[in-house]
Amino acid sequence: MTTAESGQAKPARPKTKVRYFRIRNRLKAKSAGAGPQDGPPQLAGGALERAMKGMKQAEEDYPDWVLKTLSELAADHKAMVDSDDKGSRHKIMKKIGNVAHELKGQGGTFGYPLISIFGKSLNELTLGEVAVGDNQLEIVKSHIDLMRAVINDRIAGDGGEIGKALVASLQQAIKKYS
Amino acid sequence: MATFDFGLLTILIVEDNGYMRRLQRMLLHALGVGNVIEKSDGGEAIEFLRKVKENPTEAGVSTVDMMMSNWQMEPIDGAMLLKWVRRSKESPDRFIPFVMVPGYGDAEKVAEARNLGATEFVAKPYSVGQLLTRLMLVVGSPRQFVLLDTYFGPDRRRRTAAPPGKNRRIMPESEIEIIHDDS
Repeated sequence: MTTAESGQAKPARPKTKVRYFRIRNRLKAKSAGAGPQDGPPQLAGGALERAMKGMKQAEEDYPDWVLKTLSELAADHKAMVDSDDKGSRHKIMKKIGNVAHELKGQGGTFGYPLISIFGKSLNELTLGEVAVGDNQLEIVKSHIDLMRAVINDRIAGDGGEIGKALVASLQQAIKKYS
Repeated sequence: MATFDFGLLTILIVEDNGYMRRLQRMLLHALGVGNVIEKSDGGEAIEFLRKVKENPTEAGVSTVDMMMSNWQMEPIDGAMLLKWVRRSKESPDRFIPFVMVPGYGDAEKVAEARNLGATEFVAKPYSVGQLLTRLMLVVGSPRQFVLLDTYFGPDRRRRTAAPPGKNRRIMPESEIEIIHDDS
């Protein structure tokens, strides 16, 4: 029997409680520079220029760092090829996945989104129930080769037609070896 | 013109990607942030924040002024860390500004981060200007916090204008408990 049928009054819905917390802005007080404190905000002495310079330096160093990382990945790949032991292949694959995750996170920041795309794809290959047969190793190798091509030829941005061709060639390799 | 100097701020970076972590630290230092602490996943960050609350001397700091966290990390990701910061009784400061800095391909998570109580969101790849804008917003224009049955975090409505769709904020302000902290 419903409440309406029984003639009883429907119990009132508990009222939603809403609270606003208006906290004193301690961060602003802590960050007040020496200058006047009204008007649009600006940073104290040359900080923005320093940060831009640091970012530019990191961008310049990035290709060398990726090439070094790719050499390490190629060595890991070779170690998997040389090993018949499934356990050790799994272990190396997990390591490759972590490095790929790093590559995924950085590429776009330094102007190489193709590295992020290939890093993401390689990272996904190492997630969950991972197969470590010879075909999967070929797919890993394709990722490493393509990332090396991107950096060696300094294919920044989406890479235009060349970028499209590289992405398509990865898709073909995945299809061929899956 | 208001001048900011971040020299007295302590910012906690939570990022599992070593290269990005170092870059973020370098940028924050360059922007004048005095103290940058690095942790490589949500679990490490929680452990550190517990220590800040229980034993600041051992933690090396008495307060963390702001957090910047990646989203995808193992074993504890940025979303779980944010939930802990906002809801756990062990959290040293449930009002701490929390900037979510997710990786490539996670930009669609902005609404999820907002509903978990993130203060700001800046997806990688970000520029120095984008990072600075978020810092300025956190420091210069903080929002009131809202506690509902289903939400605790910075007010998700930034504008004073009426919302584009149905106005779901129907409770008159006279029925809302307003807590001021002027200490």
